[in-house]
Formats: sequence, structure tokens, C-alpha cells
Amino acid sequence: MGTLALLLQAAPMPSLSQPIIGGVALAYFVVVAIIGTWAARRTRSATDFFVAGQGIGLFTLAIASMAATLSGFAFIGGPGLVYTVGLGAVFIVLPAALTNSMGAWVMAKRLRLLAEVREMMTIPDAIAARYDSRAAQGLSAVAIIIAVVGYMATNILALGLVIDAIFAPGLALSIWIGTAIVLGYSVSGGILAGIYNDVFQGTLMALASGAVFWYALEAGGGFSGMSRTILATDASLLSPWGKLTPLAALSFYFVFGLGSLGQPHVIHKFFMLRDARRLKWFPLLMTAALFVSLLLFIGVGLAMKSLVLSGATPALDMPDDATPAFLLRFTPVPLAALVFASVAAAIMSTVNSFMSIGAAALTHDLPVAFGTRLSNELKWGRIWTVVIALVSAVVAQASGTLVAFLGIFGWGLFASTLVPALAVGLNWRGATRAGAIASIATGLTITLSLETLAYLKRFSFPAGVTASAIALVSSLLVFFVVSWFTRTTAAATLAPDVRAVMEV
Amino acid sequence: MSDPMKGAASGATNGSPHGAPRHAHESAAGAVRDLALRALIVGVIGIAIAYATAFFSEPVARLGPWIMAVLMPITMFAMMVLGAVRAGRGIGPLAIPFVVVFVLVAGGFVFALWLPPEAVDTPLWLGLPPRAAVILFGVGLLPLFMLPIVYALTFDAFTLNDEDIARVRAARLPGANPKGGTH
Repeated sequence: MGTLALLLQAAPMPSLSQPIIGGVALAYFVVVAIIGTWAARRTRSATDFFVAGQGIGLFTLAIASMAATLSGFAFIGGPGLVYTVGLGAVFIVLPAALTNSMGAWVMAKRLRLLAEVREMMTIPDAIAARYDSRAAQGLSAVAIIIAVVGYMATNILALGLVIDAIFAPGLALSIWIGTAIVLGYSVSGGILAGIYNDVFQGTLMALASGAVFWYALEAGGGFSGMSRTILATDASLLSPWGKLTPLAALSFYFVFGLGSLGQPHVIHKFFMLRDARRLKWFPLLMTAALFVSLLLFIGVGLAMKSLVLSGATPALDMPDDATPAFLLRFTPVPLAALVFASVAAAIMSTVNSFMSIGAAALTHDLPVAFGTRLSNELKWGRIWTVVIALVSAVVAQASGTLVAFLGIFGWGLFASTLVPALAVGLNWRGATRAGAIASIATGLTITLSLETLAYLKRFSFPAGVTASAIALVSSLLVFFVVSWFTRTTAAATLAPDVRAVMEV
Repeated sequence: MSDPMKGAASGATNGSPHGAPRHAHESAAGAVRDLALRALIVGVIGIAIAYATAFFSEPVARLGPWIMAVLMPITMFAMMVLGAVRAGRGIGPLAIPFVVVFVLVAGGFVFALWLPPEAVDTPLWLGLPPRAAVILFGVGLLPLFMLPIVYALTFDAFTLNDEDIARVRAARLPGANPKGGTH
């Protein structure tokens, strides 16, 4: 399954059954429920349900985008990956130095301005507007639905693992409990509930991560202490590429950097901003929030490796134990409890975003692609939210490599299907409808086929390069080549209002 | 591949901020956009070649990371320029920070590939071995707030202002209902 298999939280966590941890987790779920109830009363239309009534502010947008970007992987799988492969894992988060500003210049303004001239509820809506093409809208919706179910299944499984570790009701029941909690506020309050829960969850994540980083530096003797201990035993862990090949590490940077422009659960939040001029401070706020939230990722992984190598703590049974073991041994219990609640928060905020875009694709994009429009999108949005959640929960019950496989291609599928058509297309008037459709189809086909071959152990790319990277490069090349061959049609597919958006 | 619509009558109301002849600014912006697009395409092709080297043995396989280290940042910055360039205005003062951050990122990757591997007695830079410090602090930390601050400081002049929004709103098609949706 390649290196991306390491990015998933699909293994059990150590038991966290302590009264304080359970109490904090319970309090966290109560706050989530209260916010959900509050938001449900304000959800009166499909626009409220899918794009928060296009009425959110800058702070809300930035924190919610950060919360949706980070899943539980940032707190559990990420530190485990640093523990295992060393600094090479950092290439997953390193592009954050560019992605928020790049996203603001390339995507934010154009998407938000599209919402000034057209009804924009979904990312496929933007693709349809750009190319005047229902086929492109339908195809991108299909890609989103496939990726969403896989992504959600892995995240719901991860949520089940966290709940099981804290309350110990068994994994199967924990998966249903987790699903019910997210479903509870998502189906009633839609993205409006999700957004305001994201703000709460994102704030929690940033606070917890910052505090844990400080403890990690203290326990490991600062960067110098950790470096000296690790260098004495296994210097390759502190190579910039860690135990990855340089090509694989750089490939992470490419996929998680350029690929960030095609993550619909994040970029569709640009539609929701009340005032486009507030985008001015978006990159700075989002970057600050993301930076603090990612400190734990690097700090805990390095600290645990150095603490294990120095004999200060026993070796881990498995890499994903890095964060739980560090928290239980080296931080006060209330802080550990806060972090475990943050893990649940990170997962839930991502799941809610996926539910929203998946339900929107089924409620809105597919019918529109077939030339119709459902009469009550709010009602159908809620129904599809339930259906997607239930399907994902059933898939998550098949815990194991199949679920891991389904989750692997989520990011890559979004990137390879949406980056060329949307990110390049909204900034290049020479892009054509045929180019967009061909690139979406290429991304879909290559991602699914290469990931399946890797899952079946029939083929994996040499040097640890991921299928996602190959799919992204291929879809970009196809996009340029087909657009060039069909360049005489470019002007015809560009409506005057969309052209005005692209000229700003 | 040039933009087939380059030079078309676009942005008809988008005037020059400095009173210079309009067509000169249009032409400059078109040139920047065209350059960014070419760089993007070259970058993507380069990344494909870098991946292809993985199928070969040494010394060809060793070229892959070097190609990637230079052409991948080119791809990302070309994308950024493509997003930032304005009809009639180019990228103005954004050029300098873009070049600085590009040098930091690409230079950091190249430097990390070029420096010798770590050993037990490797000196530490800010607590990390030199190559790791270059990547973590040079590629990851230094540009972190540089671009967001540049974005904010140039936002009104080069990204979006009230006139831009008014122009876009004026372009709404008859009967358009941006806040629509069925209930």
C-alpha cells in the first residue's frame, strides 16, 4: 500500500480509561452537542446546510479550515511516523509554509468571487461554472463521493478507536457511538454546526498541541538533547529525509503542497465567507493556527524516539503509541485528557466536513449533472448525510487493511481530480472543458488503479513514491495536453461573469 | 504553450494604477502569466522525469531528487504567480518575496542533498544537524509567515479591493441568484 499506509490511524490505542480523561472527553462531547443544537436552530435552507448561509467571519473561516485540514493523524499517526521514519515524515507538514498563501492567491479569491455571481454550494458547482459543463460537474462529484466514503470510513474507525481507548465499550460499539455523535450535529445543523464546532475543536487542538510541544522539549532536553541522543544511535533518523528516500520525501512535499489546492472539504469553506475583503488576513491567521497545531507532530515523535533510545521509557509496541505513551508518562493528566479530546475533535471536524461535501455531491451535484434539481435540497441533504455516515460506519466495522486501503487514496484522489481542473483552470483562460473532463477522468482512473495494484501487491512505484503523486502529475499533464489540442474551444466555454472573476 | 486568449480584450475596466499606458500593463501582465504557465508546464514535466528516473539504476536514479528539488518548487511558485498575477498590473511588488521564498525552498532542498550525511559528532545548528536544520528552519519555518504577511500588506493594491468586487458584481448574468438554493 506504500508509504501512505503509515498515514492512517487504524490500529488500537493503549487503554486511556482514567476518570479525568473520561470526564474531559465527556465534557467535550457535551459542548459539541450544545453547539450542534444551537446551529440546528439556525439552519433553515440548503444554503445554510451546505455553505453556512455564506455568513461566516474571518476567524471562523481560518480556524475551521485548520480543523478540517488536520485529522487525528496530526496527533497520533504523525508523531508515530516521525518516531518510525524520522524527519522524512516532516515533509508532510512542511508545505504548510506555502500552502495557505498559495491557496489564498490561487483559490480563495476566485472561489469567493464566484459566489458573488453564481449560486455556489459545492466545488463541482465551481467546476461547472468554469467550464459550462454538467459532465465535468458530475464526474468531479463522483470522484468526491468515492474519496469521501473511503476517507470517512478511516476517520470513523479512528474515532471508534479513540472512544474505545477512553471508555472501553468495545470497538464495534465505539464506532457507532462516534458516528452517532458526529451525525447528531451534522444532520441537524449541517455545515453550520460543523463550522462552529470546528472553531471550538480547532482552538482545543492548537492549545493542546502548543502545551504538549513545550513538555516534549523539556522531556527530551530540547532539540540539542534529542539530536545528540538520536545521532548516537541511529543518525539516519535525523537525516532530512529520515528513513525515506529523498525522492519519496520530496514527493510528500509535492502531493501535500500542490495537492492542498484540491481538498474540497477545506476550499469549499471559501464560499462561506461573509465578506470577500476579509480574506486579507486569512493566510496569516490560518498559518498561525496550523503552525501551533502541528508542533505536537514534530515534538512528540522526536522526543519519544530520544527517550526510548536513552532508556528513559520502554520501547513502544507500535509507532502509533508514541503520543499516548508520551502523554501518560510525561504530561499532567488534565493535559493528556485535553489532547485525547483534541484527537477526537480533529477527527470529528474532518468527518463533518466530509459528510457535508459528500451529501452535497449526492443532493446537488449529481442531480444537476443529469439536468434536474431536487425540490427540497435541505431535506435530501439531511437524508444523504445519514446514508453516507451509515455506509462509512459499516465499512469502518471491517477494521483492517481494507479500511486503510480506502482511506489511502482520499487525499490523492481529491488532488489529482480537482487541482488541474479547478486550481489551474480558474487561473488560466486557455483551459478547456475537454481538458478538465480528461484530467478528472485521468486522476480518478490512475489513482484507483495504482492504489488497487499496490493493495493487491501487484505493483508499487520504486523509491517509495506514492500513487497519489503519479496520479497528480499525470492528470496535470493530460489537462495541459488536451487543453492545448482543444484550445480553439477555450473562449466558448468561458461565461462573461466567470471571465470577470478570473480577471480580478 | 501560450494562453490562446492572451491579448484578447479582457479586463476592459481594469485600469492602470499608475496612469501608464494601459496596453503596456496588459502586455506585461500577459507576459508574466505566460511565463508562469510555461514554468508550471516545465515543472510538471520535470517532476514526471524525476519520477521516471526511479526506474533506472545509478547514476540516472541519483538525478531524480535533484530534478525534483528544483522543479517541484518551480511548479508551486509558478502556480502561485498564476494566481497572483492581475490583468493590467502583473505581480508588482510580489516578485521579490516570491523569489526570496523560492530561493529558500529550492535552495534548502539542494543544500540538503549536497551536504554530507549526519554522523555521531555532527555539529548542531540550532539544535539540529545542519541538513535537518536547513530543511526544518530554512524551508519550513522562515517562509512560514513571510508570504502571509506579504499577502496581507499587498491585498488592497494587488489582490482585491472594493472596485474589483463591484466590477465582478456588475458582471452577474441576468437572473443570477448567488444566494439561491432550494429549501
